[in-house]
Amino acid sequence: MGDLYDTCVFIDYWRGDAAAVALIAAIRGQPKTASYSTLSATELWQYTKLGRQEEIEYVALIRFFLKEAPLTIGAAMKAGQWLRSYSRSARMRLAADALIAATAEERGEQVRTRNCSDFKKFYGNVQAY
Amino acid sequence: MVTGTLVRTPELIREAWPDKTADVSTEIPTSEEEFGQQLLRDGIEPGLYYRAHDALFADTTYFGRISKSNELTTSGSDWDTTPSGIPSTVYTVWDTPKLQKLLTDPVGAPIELTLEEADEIVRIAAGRRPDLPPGKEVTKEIREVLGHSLMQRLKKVD
Repeated sequence: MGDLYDTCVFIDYWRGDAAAVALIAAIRGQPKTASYSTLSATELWQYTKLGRQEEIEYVALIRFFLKEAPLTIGAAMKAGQWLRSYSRSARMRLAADALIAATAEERGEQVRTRNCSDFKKFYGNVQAY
Repeated sequence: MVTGTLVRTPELIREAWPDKTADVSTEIPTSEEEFGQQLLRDGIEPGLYYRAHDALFADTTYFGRISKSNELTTSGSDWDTTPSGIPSTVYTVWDTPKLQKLLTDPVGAPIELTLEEADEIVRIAAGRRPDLPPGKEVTKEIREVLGHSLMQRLKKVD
């Protein structure tokens, strides 16, 4: 079973977090053995601290070393079902987590994140790094 | 491949590797392979980029890379025809003309990279921004904003 890297892995790698660096080192050694949600690309690209150099770094990483995990209609529907039992404010806060978790579940992948508690509301196969 | 005689001066060595002034070779190499072997013998890590001066073309410098297989490689597309004299610094992939050009483009412009370039870019990106808050905090903040936007959009049907 492969891993699906949450958005925080990218930012922590950029910061130099040792565990995130180890995750990226693993896929540099074995490219395309882990994936990322396309939603993470939206999150990273809307980040105001993303300049041209950071963009090139992320493109280098996701194009050559990670598999793209697009949001499918099945995962979108599953995330919606998960979210419907939550309050409006909780749905607002958890929407992205639910979408990424549903994507990982559909692909049979383990989510690697520093935000386990929110993911585990929807999907059990989550591992902190 | 670039051909010609590579020049390796004491100034280059002193400025690029200040801790390696006494015990490194300064003889002029006769080939790229010999130049690469000299650098490696002096403890220069594979994967580093360098800029070298070609004595046969005195106004020309080029960029090259010591590969993981300990070979020095260059390519014709990396020629920099700006006169610059003897180089004095170890350069990274970001100093190549191609990446310098990419950096001047706006966010969203097309990005074409080779696997070797991508690997080097990713490798040296680790820890480049220690000033940022932890990924968990950044991600939560981003998701609040995106979630708010999404729910505003769905407000009328909720």
